This record gives sequence, C-alpha cells and structure tokens, in this order.
Amino acid sequence: MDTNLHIDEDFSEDKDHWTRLLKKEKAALAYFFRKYYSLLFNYGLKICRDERLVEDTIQDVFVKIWNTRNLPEVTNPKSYVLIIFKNALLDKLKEAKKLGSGTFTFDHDTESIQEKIIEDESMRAVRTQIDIGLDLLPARQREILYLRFYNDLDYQEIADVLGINYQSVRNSIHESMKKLRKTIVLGSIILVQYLF
Amino acid sequence: MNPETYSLEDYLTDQSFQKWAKGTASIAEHNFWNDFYENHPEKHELIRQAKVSVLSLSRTESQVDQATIELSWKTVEARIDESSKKPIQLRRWMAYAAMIVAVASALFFFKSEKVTYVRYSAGYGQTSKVNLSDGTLITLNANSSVKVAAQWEDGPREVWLESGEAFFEVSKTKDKQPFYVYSDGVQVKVLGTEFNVNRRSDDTRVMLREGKVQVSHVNVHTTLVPGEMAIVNPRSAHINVTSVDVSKYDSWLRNKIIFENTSLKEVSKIIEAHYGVTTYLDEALMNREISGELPNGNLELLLNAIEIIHDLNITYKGDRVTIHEKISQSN
Repeated sequence: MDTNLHIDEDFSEDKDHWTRLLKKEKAALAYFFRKYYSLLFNYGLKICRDERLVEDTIQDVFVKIWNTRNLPEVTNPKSYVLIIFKNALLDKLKEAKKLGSGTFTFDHDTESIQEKIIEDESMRAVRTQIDIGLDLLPARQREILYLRFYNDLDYQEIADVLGINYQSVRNSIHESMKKLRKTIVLGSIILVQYLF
Repeated sequence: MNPETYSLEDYLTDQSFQKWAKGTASIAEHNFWNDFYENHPEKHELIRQAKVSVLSLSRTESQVDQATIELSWKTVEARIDESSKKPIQLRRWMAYAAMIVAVASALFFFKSEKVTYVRYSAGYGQTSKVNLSDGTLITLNANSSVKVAAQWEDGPREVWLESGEAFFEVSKTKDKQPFYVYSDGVQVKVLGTEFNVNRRSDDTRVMLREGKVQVSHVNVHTTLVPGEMAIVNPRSAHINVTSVDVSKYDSWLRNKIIFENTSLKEVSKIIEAHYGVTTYLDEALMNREISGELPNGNLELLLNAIEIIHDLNITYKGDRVTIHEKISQSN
C-alpha cells in the first residue's frame, strides 16, 4: 500500500511548465520561481541563517537555470530545483568559509523570525516535547523528517535531493519514528491535559 | 507490508497513511484507509494515535509574502534581460512598469487626504510580519489587518488596527517620534516597546510585554506597566486594567495556541476567528473545558485533540465544523 500514485494535477502542471521552460518561455521560469520561492527560502534558512544570502542564492539559481543551454528533461522539477539550490547554497557557504570542512549541519533549531525576537530564555522551556524530541535526532534524520513533514516532499523526492535511495529514506523515517515514539504520542495527546 | 500487522511506527512511516491522516490522500487511498479503519475496530486506538502523531509532526511553514517574491523576481528578470543583451531601453522601462503594477496589486494602495496608505493583512490560519521603514516590526495574527501611511513624514508614526490582532515591536527613533496605534476609537501611545493589540471581540485589548504605553479612549487615559492588560469597551468611558500572564497572550507569536480551562464555547469562537470556518457546537458541550498547548495553524490537530480528550464526534467539511456528543455504536 506504500505505492505512490502521484497522479496529482500539481505534478503534471509542473511538468507542463518544465516543457515550456525548455522552449525558453520566461513565464514558465516565473511560475517555478513563484511556486517554489517559499520552499527554497525556508529550506535555505535551515542550512544557514543568513536571509540575504539565501535570497541571493535563490535568484542565482533561477538565472542559472535560465542560462543553461541544455536543460535536462527532468521528471520532477521540484527536486531538480531543490538539488541545484542546495548545492549552490553549500558552495557559497564554503566560499565564504562559513562552513569548515564542507560538512552539512542541518539545523533544526532555526528560530523563526518571531522566535528570534523573544530573547527571554524562559520562553524556550515552552517549546513542545516534539521539538525536544526532534533535537535529539541526528541531523540527517531530522532533515529527512523536515523535508517530509514540513515541506511535503515524498520519499522519492527526498531521495533525489539527498542523493540516497528510496529505501534509505524510508528506513530513516522508520527509525526516527521509533525514537520519537514516546515524545510524539505524549506530545500530541498528553500535553493537552484536560479538566472537566 | 500489510497494515493489519503494522506497529505504530509502521503506520507513521507509510506515506499513504500519512497523506490520509493529513487529509491529502487520493480518492483511492482515502477509501482504502477509511475501509480499513471501519473494518478493524480493534485497531482504532492505534490508528487514532498514529493519525494525531502525523498531524502533530506536520507543520505548514510560513509563506514568504507575494510582494517580496515579486520584487525578487523582478531582480531575476532584470538579470536575465541584461544577459540576453537585447534592445534595452524599452525593456527596462517595461520591467519598471511591471514592478510598479506588481507591488500595487499585491499591497493595495489607497489615497485619502493626500496621504497614501498601505494595507497589510494575514489570511485565515496564517500569521505574517510587516517591517516598517522605521525598524518597527508588526506581527499580524490570522485574519487580521493594519493600515499604515505609505511614507512617514516628520510627524507621528501612526498605525490603524483594522481587524483582528497584532503584536508591535516599536523601535525608538533618534528624534523620539511618537508612535500611535488606533483600534476602534482606542488610542495607544508608545515610546519604544513591545505590546499586543486585539480587537477580535467587541472590546479592544492591549497587552504590554515591555516598556511603557498609554492607552486612551475618549477622555480617559491610563498607563500600563509590563504584564498588564487594558480592556476597553468602545461604548463605555471606562478602561479596565488587569495583570495577566504575558506568555499566554503572545503565545501566537511562537505559533502556539494555549488554552487554560478554556470552554469549548470560547474555543469555537477562536477557531472561527482564526480559520474562517463556521462551528456548530452542542449546547450541552459549551461549558466543557480544555487546557494545554498546541501548535498554531493546524486546525485538524486541534479538532483531533478535542475529539480524543472529550470523546466527541467532530466533523470538518468545507468550512463547517460540527462538534457533537458521540453516539456510541461500536462500543
């Protein structure tokens, strides 16, 4: 039952636009830019907190896609754009020496901008059990959960973006769920105590 | 693998199950899991647990606002046009014209008394942030809007809360220009501070987190210290001030929704204001209470939690939420 039917309209719309992009239609590029900007921006902020750098990289990526002479006919434009973006961002970080050996530290604890403002340390204690559980996972497992549950990428897309195989993604999720078992069940039910 | 022998982790790892739990499954998947659930009463508890777990893990990340994306796209477009080295003069001009149109349509400008105003709003189930030119940050809660002059001259800085709820972090300016927030006839005067204004109910509620504000209505003035909330009814000349737990009133900034002995009647009002749905609640259930903390912006999760805690039957279809006592059949 774990088959991925993937016949959603959204997907075929992406493929249509990719075909139009191959024919150098600028409107098709704009379509992808508007559609995936938020996804790329949020994902980028998980890798590095420099909003300016993330935005610049998004722009570079789209200029680069436009200027690429022989764009491949990809099956899934979303993963393609994500991969290019991630590589571009990591390259930039390496260049800026913000990243030591080129290792990728996936940061779950990106405080959203709202949270950044709150400097009160005691507020941190308010974070839900789930967040604490997530923090205890290795970065790679956290990244996979993030891509699945925050960004709604399917296992194949995650595999493409991370350059690993489908089964590894599935195994990672299964393992994370095992580790999170206590906290997610507690977090989702018991945290909401009740009084009649 | 066979769902009949699934452990909790197995359900949580099954993509099709995840989609069913989130309500994004295809029709075939949807039918499969509904049938499976129906036919396996002994699995009900496990499946519900798994379903709530999927929902509590899932979040919708904040979307970058349209105007920002459009401006960013114009930069990309300009760079593309530059590199293709076609006749420039007209194209440049067109790019700028397009930029103006894009911003205008995204922000909605309107004019009165020679001042141009910009309206910022957040839709149902989302919050959004507005950076003003003086460095002030406004965070809008779901279904809320503010109006601001497009350009501030030397005079006072003024913001109108037109609907809903907003949190203000006002920055101090060199010449200590005063900052005012107006909400339904209530005026809040500020000098560099953090506070929340809520006009969802009939009254306006001003909660101060840091600094100092003066709240005025008609001829009544009162000054708040941090941790105090002023409640102003537009039809009375009286301002009520109470001490409150700040973290309860600004929890929405951290994408949390906190209930503390909150009656289901109040909960349904909050749901309606935040998500733009209509709720139907059994009279007999109105005084049931819930306490606890949940991620904001996830109506399904909230409904699921209420359903489980009070053992109710909640349906959510279209923009209608119905909350009923459960009619026991299988038990």
